[in-house]
Amino acid sequence: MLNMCRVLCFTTPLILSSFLHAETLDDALEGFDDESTPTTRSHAERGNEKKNDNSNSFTGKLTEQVAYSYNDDSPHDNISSLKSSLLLDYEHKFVNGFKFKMNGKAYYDAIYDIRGTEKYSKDERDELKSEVELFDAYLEGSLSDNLDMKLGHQVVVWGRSDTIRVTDVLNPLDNRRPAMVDIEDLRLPVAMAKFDYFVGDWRITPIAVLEQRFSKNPPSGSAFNPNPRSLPSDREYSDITPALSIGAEFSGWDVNFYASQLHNDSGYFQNGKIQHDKVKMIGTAVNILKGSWLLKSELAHFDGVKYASALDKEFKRTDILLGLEYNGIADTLISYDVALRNVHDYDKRLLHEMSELKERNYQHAFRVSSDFMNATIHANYLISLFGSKMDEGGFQRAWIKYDIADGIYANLGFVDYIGGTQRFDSVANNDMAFMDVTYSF
Amino acid sequence: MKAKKILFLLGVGASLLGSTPLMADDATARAIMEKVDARDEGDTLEQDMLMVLIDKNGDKRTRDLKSYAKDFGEDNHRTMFFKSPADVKNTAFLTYDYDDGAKDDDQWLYLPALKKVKRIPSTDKSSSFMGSDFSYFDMTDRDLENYDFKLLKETKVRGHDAWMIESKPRNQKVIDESGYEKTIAIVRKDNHVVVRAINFLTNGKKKYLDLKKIHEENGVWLVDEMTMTTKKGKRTLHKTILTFSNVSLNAPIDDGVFTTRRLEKGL
Repeated sequence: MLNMCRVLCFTTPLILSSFLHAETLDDALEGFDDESTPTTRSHAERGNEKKNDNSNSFTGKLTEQVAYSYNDDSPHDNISSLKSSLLLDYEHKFVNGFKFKMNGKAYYDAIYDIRGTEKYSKDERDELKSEVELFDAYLEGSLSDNLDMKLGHQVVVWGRSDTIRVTDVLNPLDNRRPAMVDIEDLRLPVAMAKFDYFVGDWRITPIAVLEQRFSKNPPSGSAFNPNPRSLPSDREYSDITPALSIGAEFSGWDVNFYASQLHNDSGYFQNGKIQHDKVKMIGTAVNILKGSWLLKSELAHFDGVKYASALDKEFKRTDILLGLEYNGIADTLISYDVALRNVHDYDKRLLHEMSELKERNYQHAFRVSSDFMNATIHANYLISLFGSKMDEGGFQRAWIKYDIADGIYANLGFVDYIGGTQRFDSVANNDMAFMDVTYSF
Repeated sequence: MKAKKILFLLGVGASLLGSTPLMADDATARAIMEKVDARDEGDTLEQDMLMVLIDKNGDKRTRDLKSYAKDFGEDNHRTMFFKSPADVKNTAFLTYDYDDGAKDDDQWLYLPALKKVKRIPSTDKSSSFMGSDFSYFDMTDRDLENYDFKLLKETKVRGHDAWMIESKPRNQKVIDESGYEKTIAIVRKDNHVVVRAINFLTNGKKKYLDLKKIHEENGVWLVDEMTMTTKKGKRTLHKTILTFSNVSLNAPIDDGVFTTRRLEKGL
C-alpha cells in the first residue's frame, strides 16, 4: 500500500505534467489564424505603382495648435495661441539622380485677432501673428562616385547631441517661443554650398555659407521677452563664410572634426545694432557604442568671441559635452547630456551681460522617450537645466504623441519654465499646456 | 554568404538559425535546424514591403517600405526606406548585422525631422520595429549555439509534412536580448522553410509568425505574405501583415546602398 502510494506520488505529477504540456502546446497551436486578412493594396496595384511616374512628390502637413498659458498677465494669459499652420513640400527627382527639394511653412495665429491686436506690442504682432517662411530649397546629387553636392537653403547638423548644441553651429534657431517650437522647425535653413567627398570610411565636407542669418529671439513685449523696448536689429552681412567637416564611421564608433569661421550667432550690441563678428571654431565629436550604451562627446573651441560688457577684449571659449544614451529597455530611450562652457581669461564685467555670464557655465539635459501600444503612443519627457547645481533655471517638457490614424496624429503636453536666474525668472510664469492635431498628406 | 540572414529581414525563423552543433539537445532537431540554416536564400535581395499594422479593434495603419539586403562575407547589411505614409516618409534604417556574436551590430536611423543620421544602440532587440509586431531581434541573425533544440512531433501545415521543433535559449542573456523564453517552430520537410513559429515572450504573451504565401524562384524560397500576431491567451492584441512585391533576388546591389550617405539621400 505504501509502495503504491509512493509510486502514485511520483508518477502523478509526471503524468499530469505531460498532460498539461500537451494541452499547452495544443492551446498554443490554436493561436494560428488561418484567415487571410486582406491588405489595403493588392500586388497588382502595387506593381502598377512602379510603373507610375514618381519623379514628383508633393506632400504637406496641416496643423491646428492651441496653447493654454498659466501666465497671469493679460494678454498672455489663458488661451495664448490658436495657431493654424500649413507645410508644403515638393520634391523632384531628375533622371540623372539629382533631386530638387523645396518646402515652406505658413501660419496664422488667430488669438491675436480674437483677443484684439491692440493689446499686443507691435513687435509681437509682426513676429508671431502670422508668417510665411521658406525652409528647404536645394538641389542635390552626385557629381561622381565619391563626390556629392547640395546647393541651396538647407540645414546641416553637426555634432551628436539631440538636446544641447556645442558643435552644431551652422544653422540659427527659432527661439521665439522657447521649448514650444517643433524640432522640425527649430533649425532655420541657411543658403549653403556643401560638397561631400568620400575616401574609404572618411567623408570630407567643405561648406561655403552663402547667407548670414541669425537666430530669431522672442519679440519685445511678448510673453518670453516682457521688456517693452524693441530689440535692436541684426547687422547685415553679405560675405561668404567657410566651414569644414571631416568624419568617419567605424564599427562601434565614429568621429568628426570640425572647423569654421562663422559670424557669431549670439553677437553683441554696439552702434545700435547687434554685431555678429566672425569667430573661429574648431571642434570634434565622437560616438562610442558599447552594448546598450552610446557615449557621446563633443568639444568646440571658439576664438574671437566678443561680449557687449567687455568690448575692448576678445575672448576664447571652450565648450565640452558628454552624453549617454541607453537603449536597454524595450521601446525606450533614455539620454543624459551635460555641457560645460568655459570662458578663458575671464573678465568679471561679463557678469553684467544681459544673461549673466560666469567663467564656467553648465547645462544639463535629461530625456526619456518611450513607445506604447505598437508605437501608437509616444511618451516623451525632457528637462533642461542650467548651472553646476542645476539651479540657474531652465525648463521641463512632457508630451504625448498619439497616432490617431495613418497620417493623423495629436500631441498633448505641458511645459514648465523654471526660474533660478534673472534670465529665467522673468519667463518662469509662462508655464503652458498645449495640444495640436496634424494631418499629413 | 549565409543567405538565410536575408530571410531574417522578413522575420522568418526568428531565433532558429546558426551553425555550431552542441551536445545538450536533440541531435535530430539540431540536424533539421542545420538544414534550415544551410538553405540557399540568395546573396542579395531587393523588394517592396507593405506593412499593415492592425490593432485589437481592427484599425489599420499602413507603412510602405523599400528594402535592400546584401551579404558581405559572413556579415549581412540591410537598408530600409519608408515611402509612406507622409509622416514617416524618408525615414531610413541601416543595419550591419555581424556574424560574430560577440560584436554589437551597428545600426543607424535617419529621421527627416532631425535632418541627421543617428547611430542607435542595438543591444535591446526586443523593441518593436517601427510599431510592428516584429522586433529588431526578429530581423537579425543569431547562433544555433545559443539554443537547445527538441523535436516535439511530426505534423502537417497546409497539407505539407512538417517537423515541430522547440528551441530554448541556453542562457538568460539571450532571453533578455530577445524577450523570448522559447520558440516552437514548424519546419516544412520538403524545403526546410520555417513556415510557422510561436515565440513565447517573457511577459506571458505569444507572437505567432505565419508564412501565408511562399514561392520558389531558382531554387530559393521567397515569402509573398507573412503575419506576426501578438496574443495574450487567445486574445489578439496586435497583428502585422507583411506583403512583398517587386522582388529581385541575386541582382547586383551597389555597396553604396548600405551607407549612411545613402540614408541621407533617400531613395
